[in-house]
Amino acid sequence: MQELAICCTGSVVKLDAESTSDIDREFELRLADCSTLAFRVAMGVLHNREDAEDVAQETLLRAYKNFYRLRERERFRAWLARIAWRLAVDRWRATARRERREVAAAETPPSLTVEELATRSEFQQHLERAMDELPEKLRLVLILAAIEGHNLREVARLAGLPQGTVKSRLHLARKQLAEKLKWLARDTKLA
Amino acid sequence: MACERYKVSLADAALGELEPAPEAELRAHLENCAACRAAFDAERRLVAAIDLGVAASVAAEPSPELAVRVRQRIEAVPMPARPWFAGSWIGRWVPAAAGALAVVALVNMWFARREPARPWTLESAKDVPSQHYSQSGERVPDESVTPRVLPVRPVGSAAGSRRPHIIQKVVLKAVEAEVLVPPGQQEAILQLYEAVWSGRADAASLLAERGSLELVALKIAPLEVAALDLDSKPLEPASDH
Repeated sequence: MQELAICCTGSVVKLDAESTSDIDREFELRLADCSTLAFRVAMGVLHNREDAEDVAQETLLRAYKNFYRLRERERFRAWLARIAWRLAVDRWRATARRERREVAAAETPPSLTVEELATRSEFQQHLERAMDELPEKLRLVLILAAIEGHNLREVARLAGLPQGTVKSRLHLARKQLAEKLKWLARDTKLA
Repeated sequence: MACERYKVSLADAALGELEPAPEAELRAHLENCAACRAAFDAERRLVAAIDLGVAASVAAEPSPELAVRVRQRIEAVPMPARPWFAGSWIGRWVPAAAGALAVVALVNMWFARREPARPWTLESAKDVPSQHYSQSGERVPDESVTPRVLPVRPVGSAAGSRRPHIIQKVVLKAVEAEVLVPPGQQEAILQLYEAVWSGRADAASLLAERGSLELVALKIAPLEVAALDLDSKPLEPASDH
């Protein structure tokens, strides 16, 4: 018995009857491209490369362990994106709690590293802070839509939402960011 | 400073979410209002910067070592034991069947624990007619009563139920002498009380039947034994055959 599997790149791969080695091989085919998806979702939440790679690693490991349970293999990308999102948000919350404790304990607030300051503009820092303040359901849609190659239909598929809902949440997310950053636009000249 | 009337439209237009009719009206206004034109340009630049910034926050590529690390972790962690039916058609139906059985079991448990509807009633003191019985058996209304409120706890199957139950308070009017309930009879007395107040039992008929509760003596006809004839021949012993 042969089954068809669609991996992340969109090509169709024929598989023999399911066996452990078949499942491993199928997962391996998806690993290269889907690791990028998991990493980018995590980056959108954490804004930190090291943390994002840790979360992506954890995401892929969990996906591997539970891959045999996934009946609809064509939903693998959406499934992976949701795992990455959940792990990234949990990590973000833990980090935010720790930073709040450190701020409360320290006399001076923690500052970014030199490398981080050099690579991120002031606007980008404020933007990322504003993104962190968005409600989760708006932030998810915003991040998925920002990933290259994701149109409205793809975002709806990944998020498991109707296209209309995705569109309205995206509009609301951008509107809220514009409201939060309006003062910055007045003070600085945006190119 | 942009015109107050068009402030919201400016923001929505910058986001590209304005309906055609309002957008046409705004465009017509922008041709004649320099302040609104400047505000609209600022909004567009802000939205463009936001879109670029959000895209930049997710545009990074993972390091080549990520995939290597993932493979190493996968190889290091022992694969969890998969059920023998994993991947087969059975694996699709076993969880659904188990779930259905669990639902059936829960429904059965719920019906088994469900207590029959009890007619809880709450009477006010003044609505409760109070009376007692005279020596002749006539019902006499109470002239002096002392209203008392006694808690009535759920009995029977509801007594041990974990579900929250409402403790109804039934007002009893104390008569001259309170009836002491023999041990083990309290539940029966309370159920009778509740049945009478709810109308399930007719107190009048219960009382009317009291008079007929008389034991009818069993009449047994005496045995008729023939008189002994002493003049008859003495009985001969029975012969052995």
